[in-house]
Amino acid sequence: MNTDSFLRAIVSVVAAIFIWYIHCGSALAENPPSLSPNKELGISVLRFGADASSGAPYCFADRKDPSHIKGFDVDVIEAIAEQLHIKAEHVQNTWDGLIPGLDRNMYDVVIDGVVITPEHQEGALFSAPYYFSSYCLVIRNADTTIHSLADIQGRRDKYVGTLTGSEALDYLNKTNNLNIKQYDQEIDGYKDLMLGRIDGFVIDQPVAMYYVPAITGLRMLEQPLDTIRYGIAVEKNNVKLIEQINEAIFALQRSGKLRKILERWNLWNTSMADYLSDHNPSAIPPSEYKEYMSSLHSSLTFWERLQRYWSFMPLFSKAAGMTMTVSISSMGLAIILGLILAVLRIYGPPPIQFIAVSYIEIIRGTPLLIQLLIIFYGLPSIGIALNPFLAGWLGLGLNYAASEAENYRAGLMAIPKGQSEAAIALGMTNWQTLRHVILPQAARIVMPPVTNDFIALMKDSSLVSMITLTELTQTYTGLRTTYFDDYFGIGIQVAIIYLLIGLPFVYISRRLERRLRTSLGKNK
Amino acid sequence: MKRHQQNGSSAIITIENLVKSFDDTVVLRNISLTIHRGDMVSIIGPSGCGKSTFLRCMNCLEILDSGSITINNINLSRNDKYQKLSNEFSSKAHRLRQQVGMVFQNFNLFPHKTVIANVMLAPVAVQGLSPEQARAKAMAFLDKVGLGKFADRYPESLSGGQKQRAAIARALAMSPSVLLYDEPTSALDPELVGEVLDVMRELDHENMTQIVVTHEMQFAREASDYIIFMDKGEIIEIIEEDIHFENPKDERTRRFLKRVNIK
Repeated sequence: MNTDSFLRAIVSVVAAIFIWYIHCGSALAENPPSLSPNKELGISVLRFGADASSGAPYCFADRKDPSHIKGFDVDVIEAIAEQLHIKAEHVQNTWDGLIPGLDRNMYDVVIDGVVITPEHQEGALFSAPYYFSSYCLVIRNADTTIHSLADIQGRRDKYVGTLTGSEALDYLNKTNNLNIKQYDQEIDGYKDLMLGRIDGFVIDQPVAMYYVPAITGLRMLEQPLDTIRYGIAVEKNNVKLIEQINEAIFALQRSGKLRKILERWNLWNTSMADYLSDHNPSAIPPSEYKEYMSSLHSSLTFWERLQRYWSFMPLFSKAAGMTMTVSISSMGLAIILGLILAVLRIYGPPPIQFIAVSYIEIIRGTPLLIQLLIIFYGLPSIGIALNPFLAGWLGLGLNYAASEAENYRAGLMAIPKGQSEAAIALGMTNWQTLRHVILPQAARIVMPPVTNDFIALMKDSSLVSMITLTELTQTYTGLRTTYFDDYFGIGIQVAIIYLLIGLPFVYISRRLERRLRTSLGKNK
Repeated sequence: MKRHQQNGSSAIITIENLVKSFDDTVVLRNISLTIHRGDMVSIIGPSGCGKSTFLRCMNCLEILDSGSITINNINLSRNDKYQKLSNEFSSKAHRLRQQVGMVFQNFNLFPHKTVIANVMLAPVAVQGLSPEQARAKAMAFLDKVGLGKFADRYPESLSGGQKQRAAIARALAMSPSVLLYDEPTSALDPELVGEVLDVMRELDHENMTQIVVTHEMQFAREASDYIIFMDKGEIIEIIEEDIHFENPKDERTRRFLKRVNIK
């Protein structure tokens, strides 16, 4: 099998998967029930921002059906919405972006284990606390030297880890003499703890309860570190909404519905009992907790594991569709803008050349991630609020335009001077020369580097997951938090998908290159 | 030397006090020259004497510093090289180029287009001919230079002589009043030189005005109406008779001709 027929086979397989995905997608499409809006608030849906990859028990992808989310925060917000006679609807965002997303009006509220702190209260308006808990320290089972955070304090060889941007991090920062390591995902912290790269991991008690028992070799210390209060955040000026939410929380507390939710998730604790002066014995079995734990402990056969990976495919197809859409459309923008920039840089008058060079150097010299965050979270402060797709498209397109411009410049410069002289001598204008003589020849030269850039762009498109687009990497992160016991396999799966969706473009480019070469008469 | 055709024919090119320099190096010093319709003129001289630059000035691939160039009643003049080029100047230069065809040493055919597409391009893009008209015209010129069979080939697959003939057909398709050749046979194998020179001779019979920068002394002597000898940016001598070619008036011409082994 030569590389060409191999590529062709890949193309057909990918096409088949997409057709299958579209078929599934249409079958799965649900019609939202028509709802009457809440009279006080004027909304019929309560949009809540939460990061489904932040993990159990707050908001996480259901292991049985990873396209659905569940969690105790989900139950709480659904109960609140029910109180308000409206429906709750999840909006995915990364944990770091949850509060900034309120200002962008991406959703009405944030509920995702967000702790009420003075720092947070500067950025958003918080409800009354709906849950009390504490931080706790997770250590290695075999480690008998650590009994509290004090045993790590002041030790240069000991490290404590926690989540980036979390309140636990603020708490640790206020504690003296600690070597702190930050993680984006808890599971990475647990992994490092097991490997001995860190010696303790500080995390909210509920999270520890859901994850640590499943990890052989780790245990949590009973001693609570600091009391924390979870609240629901809304946009700073939305007093009306926060009043309604507070009323709903109080109603849920009074009716005992809140306690029922907490008990189902095994989260009812003494702090809550004291807060609500409700010291009755537990009446509800921790069904959700048990279900979660049993799903962790079930060991899978190889076949079952493959079946599970296969069950991710609808989710991954959808995500691959988003990755492709954002990549292809960004590349379109990059090619057009890059061409304009290259032409201006070479043929423009000096001030225009200067602008083109400045653009290229500034964009090339700054990280794409920062550019994306500025476009998505920075621009709204001057009144330009783009939706995630538009922001991702613009960010990737503007960024790659700079490297495309340099590709084209190299291509244009590679055409011998005699070519443009011949065209000019024939009476052609500069534009005609460019259009008929220079560009067609430069196109052949830049085809390989442009293909290369497209593949790079497709991989860089994983960064748009940071601005809430649910594409391949975002989906992968979510799944690996949900099924953290086997994320090695999911990682390989998503890598293969990236590879597969990139190959058709390599094939197309190779065909194009050959066609252009043929038209240059070099096919003898 | 071929019989002089100057009798009665009008001047087509008038050059007065042409000066051209690159940075601080003066390449052309105060050149004045008149060329008549139908003339075949050869320009010879040692390398670096400015003969190619002179040719390129005549179709504005190089813009003159000062002096004036008039071709077919289109006049371009400039006082000094610091004078800003007006839009009027540029549009005149553009019109002038359409009067003047140019053939290059390295052919400069467009490699991404077939031979006939090379010839058709400017008539369609510049003169606005329909592709059908341009094709017919292009085919006629290709036949004329003996390349009718090669119309749909790419330049890559042609010999050097064929490429240069295609380049001549391409220049002719714009119906120029003057054809300039910048060392048209220098890049060719010796056995291919003849076919290109034959085409030029045939055009001369049709009364085309042609100016050739060349090292082909034999051709210059046989086919030209007169030969311009240049050195150090100046026209040293205009040789109009065979007898002068054998025995030039100027010492520098004599030395040059001796060096290139022409008796």
